[in-house]
Amino acid sequence: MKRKLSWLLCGAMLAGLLAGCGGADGSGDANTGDGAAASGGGNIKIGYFGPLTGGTAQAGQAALNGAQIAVNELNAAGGVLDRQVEIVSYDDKSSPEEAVKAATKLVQVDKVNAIFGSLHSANVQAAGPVIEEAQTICVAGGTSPTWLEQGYTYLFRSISNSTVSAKQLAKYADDQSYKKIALFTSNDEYGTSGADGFKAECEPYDIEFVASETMTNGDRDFTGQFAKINAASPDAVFIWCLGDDLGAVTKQLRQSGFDGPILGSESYTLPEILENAGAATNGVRFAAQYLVYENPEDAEDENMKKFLEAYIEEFGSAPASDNAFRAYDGVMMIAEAMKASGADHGSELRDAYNDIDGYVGLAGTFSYKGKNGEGIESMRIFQIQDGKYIEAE
Amino acid sequence: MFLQLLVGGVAVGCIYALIGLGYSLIYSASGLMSFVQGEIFMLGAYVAFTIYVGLGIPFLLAVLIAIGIMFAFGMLLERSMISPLLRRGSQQIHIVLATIGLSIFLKNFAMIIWGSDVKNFPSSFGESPLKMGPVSISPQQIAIVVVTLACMVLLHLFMSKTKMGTSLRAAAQDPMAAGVVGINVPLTVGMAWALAAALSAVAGILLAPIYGVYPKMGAILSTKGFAAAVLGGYGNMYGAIIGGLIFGVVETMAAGYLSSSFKDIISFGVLIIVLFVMPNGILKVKAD
Amino acid sequence: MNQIMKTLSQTKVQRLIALVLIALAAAYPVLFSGSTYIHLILCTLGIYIIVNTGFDILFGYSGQISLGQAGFYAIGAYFSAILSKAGVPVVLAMLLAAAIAALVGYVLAIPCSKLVHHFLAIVTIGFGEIVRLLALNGPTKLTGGANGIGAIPAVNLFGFKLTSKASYLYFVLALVLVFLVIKSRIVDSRVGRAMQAIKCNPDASEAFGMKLSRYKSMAFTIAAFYAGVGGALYAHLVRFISPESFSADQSSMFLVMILVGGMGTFCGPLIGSLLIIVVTEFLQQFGTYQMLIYGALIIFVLFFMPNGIAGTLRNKYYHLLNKLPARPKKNAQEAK
Repeated sequence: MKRKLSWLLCGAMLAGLLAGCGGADGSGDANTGDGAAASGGGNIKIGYFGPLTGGTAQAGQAALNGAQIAVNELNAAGGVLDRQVEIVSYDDKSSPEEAVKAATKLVQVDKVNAIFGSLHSANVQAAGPVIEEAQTICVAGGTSPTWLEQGYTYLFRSISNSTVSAKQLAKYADDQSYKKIALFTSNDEYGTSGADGFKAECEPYDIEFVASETMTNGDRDFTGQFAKINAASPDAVFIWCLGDDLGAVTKQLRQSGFDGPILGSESYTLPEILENAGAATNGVRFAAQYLVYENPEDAEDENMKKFLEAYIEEFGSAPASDNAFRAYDGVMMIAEAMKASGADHGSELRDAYNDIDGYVGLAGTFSYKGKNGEGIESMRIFQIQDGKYIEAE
Repeated sequence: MFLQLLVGGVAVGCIYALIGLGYSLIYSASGLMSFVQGEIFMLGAYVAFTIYVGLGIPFLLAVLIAIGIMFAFGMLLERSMISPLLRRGSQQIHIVLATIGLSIFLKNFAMIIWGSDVKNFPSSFGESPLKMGPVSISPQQIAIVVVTLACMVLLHLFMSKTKMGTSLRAAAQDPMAAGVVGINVPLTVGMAWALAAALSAVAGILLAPIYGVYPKMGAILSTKGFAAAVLGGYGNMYGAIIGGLIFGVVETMAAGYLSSSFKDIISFGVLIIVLFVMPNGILKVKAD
Repeated sequence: MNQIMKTLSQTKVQRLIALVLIALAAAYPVLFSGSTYIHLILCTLGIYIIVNTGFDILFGYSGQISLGQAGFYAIGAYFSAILSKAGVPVVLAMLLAAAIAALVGYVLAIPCSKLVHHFLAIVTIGFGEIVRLLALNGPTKLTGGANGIGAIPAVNLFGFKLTSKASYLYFVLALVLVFLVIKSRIVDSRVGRAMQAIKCNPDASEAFGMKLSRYKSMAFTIAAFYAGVGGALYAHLVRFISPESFSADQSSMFLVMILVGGMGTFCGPLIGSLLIIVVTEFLQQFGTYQMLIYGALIIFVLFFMPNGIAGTLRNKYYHLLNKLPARPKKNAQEAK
């Protein structure tokens, strides 16, 4: 009996393994190139590295899917430079070390023409030297300003960096005459850079920081932090942490007795937060380029509507994260640069990408000229009211 | 503020205690270290979520079914993985490896089945906090403390009053002698794993409305539950409770009065110091 | 009896491996010309072998579990990065960093030498977490906080800048050899035997007049030094470090590597490091499913090799190997 059970377990695992292989086979066609050289004939290869397993897997998968939509669209229109486009993807497991391996493999083994990835700024930064050395352009979705301040010339960003939203929020805070603000951030790269950016942007205004508290990603008891924040009786609380924590944080902050305005990160666009925190999100303000719509009809923008429809048709449901938009914009702009210059790799492609001016994507209008890899600075401030996003004035 | 912190600390400490109890049970029954408790905690929350929200079965029934499933899962885990491995001659430390492997497997299994986003588990006790003077307590926190206490009492009664409990303790003390007097030792060991899994599942369901349900939810808690069990004196049921409460309160106080950035540094620092002074934990047990 | 096998695995096998490594190193430019990716993977492999080899002295030979090796790894990486950016020659900075890691290991061993099993496990988990949080929240000017440290200088060896991965690989391989030889020396020495004796039977060893805490802390110090060297090598390989690279997952990866490979053997850490790296790279093609398969594989391997690969092979082919002539001198000395 016991032996049978253990065999059963073995069998179950084997089945799991096979299922894994089977699942991978579906996407395998797109993933495995036949070793054709990148330059010259053959398909154009766009590399992707980002989290496909681990805590942010869904964001990574959404990004990969978004890139896939872009590729489908390009191929349906006859490809780029008369060649079909394909994606080669690797999981960076949210780890800088894995990111370096993945990026190296993309540029060395797969010899991709261009890369989209990663979503984690630390991972982009770790992979930076590899990408620069290989002279392969890489468009990334991380929002921390740091990795574009290192002097890399092949790195670009397909979303505005966190300073832009920090600037908007700081201005908004001043407009609303919040004098005392408490900071609550995750103690990782995302939270720290968000808080530092906001503090720097608040310099010119008459704003005092009455508390500065942090949390570890995955922690769920903030009694101590919120007691301190409430004791300082701030006009507003600035929250900067990743989406998986945000719902719980917001709910507990409200339960701890704070009912003033919350200034938050763009992660508040995620539908899961509205669902998790419910009424607690009333009074949250955040700066973002786009909202994550569950339903294409809700989107005002025509491009966005078209994208969402294509996405839902391909993958069955709307994207779970705005990273899908970042990846779509990134891949489309890479194609744009290729079309404009006729170059499919190297410094020519980089220069063409740098020349992108006035490209209208999902996030708005991109212009990279002379901006050192940054392409967009416009942002809107949204406010959450009764489970709906409205634009704050 | 002190009272507020104390309440929060006790509530979170209760959760550490529940998870720590699981570690202690497993250790005292089979002398093993399991690193899969955090994932059982997570799985318990997911199973309850699926039954309650997905199938729409009434809350209490859903919880009971979920706990039953996790109980069976714990038993199955011991019967079909741990004890066959031991029979094949694995050393204890390789059982640790097997549980690490299983925890990676389960985390990713949950991610593939349910997705990596945070699922909302509606609280059945209401959301609005109760005000008691300067202290605000959420109904969920009260539920956590009450249920934890109930679990402790039940477990205590089970261990000291029932035949199964007595044989469990006997098997833990001396498996061979227990076998000689006719106790079914393999069954009792399986029972301990099952109980540990059920306790973790209870903790998971209790915390789900606060945490939200997601694949990584057990990662940090399992470490802290383990810390609670060790701090109190590994293998000692009451030690896990004391350890959990101490760990929870120290942590919350550190965040409230000192610095939240250094919260974990302080709580782990306290742990190291306590173990330096009392190498066998607060309630002494024999170390091997 | 076991000692016979150990003696074998420490002489013949060791020589064999040394030969293979040297052959690999020599044939290397021909074998893998030009693929930076392979160089990178091999460099990482070398680094893991060094860390795990040291870890094996602590864990396999001295019997003390540690779930905080990433802490020492981080100390090595951070101090080497900081010192070399401050102008200290890189190789010296690496040595200093490893020495600092060893010192921390020695200090940590003071509370740890009294602890066993789970008590030790949780203290080392706590230690790893404390180091990571200090890197994150400590003096931002030094550690760079969450942004980490970038633009770490490359290794400069007698005027040769090892900027390319290929040249760095030679450097790493040389160090791997050096540290493997040091390990076999330590394990064969009086200290190493004392460690093993303490692992087998602490009470009896103490009765024979061995100072338990001394040998235990020695093992901790050595393992910390190895991990520190590994961390420093990592910092100058990737040339960017941030706290994210030194999480508890990293520690448990070291543990998995050494347990899969087989602890307390010469080959175990090598097999484990190689296998896990190759398997994780191979599983990349499975996308979202890769870690699921990885977890299942660990359990699967255990079902067939319940004591890790090297450990199980040793038990299985025990009889076979037993027939080989062993070195009589050692034998007589170690027969109890």
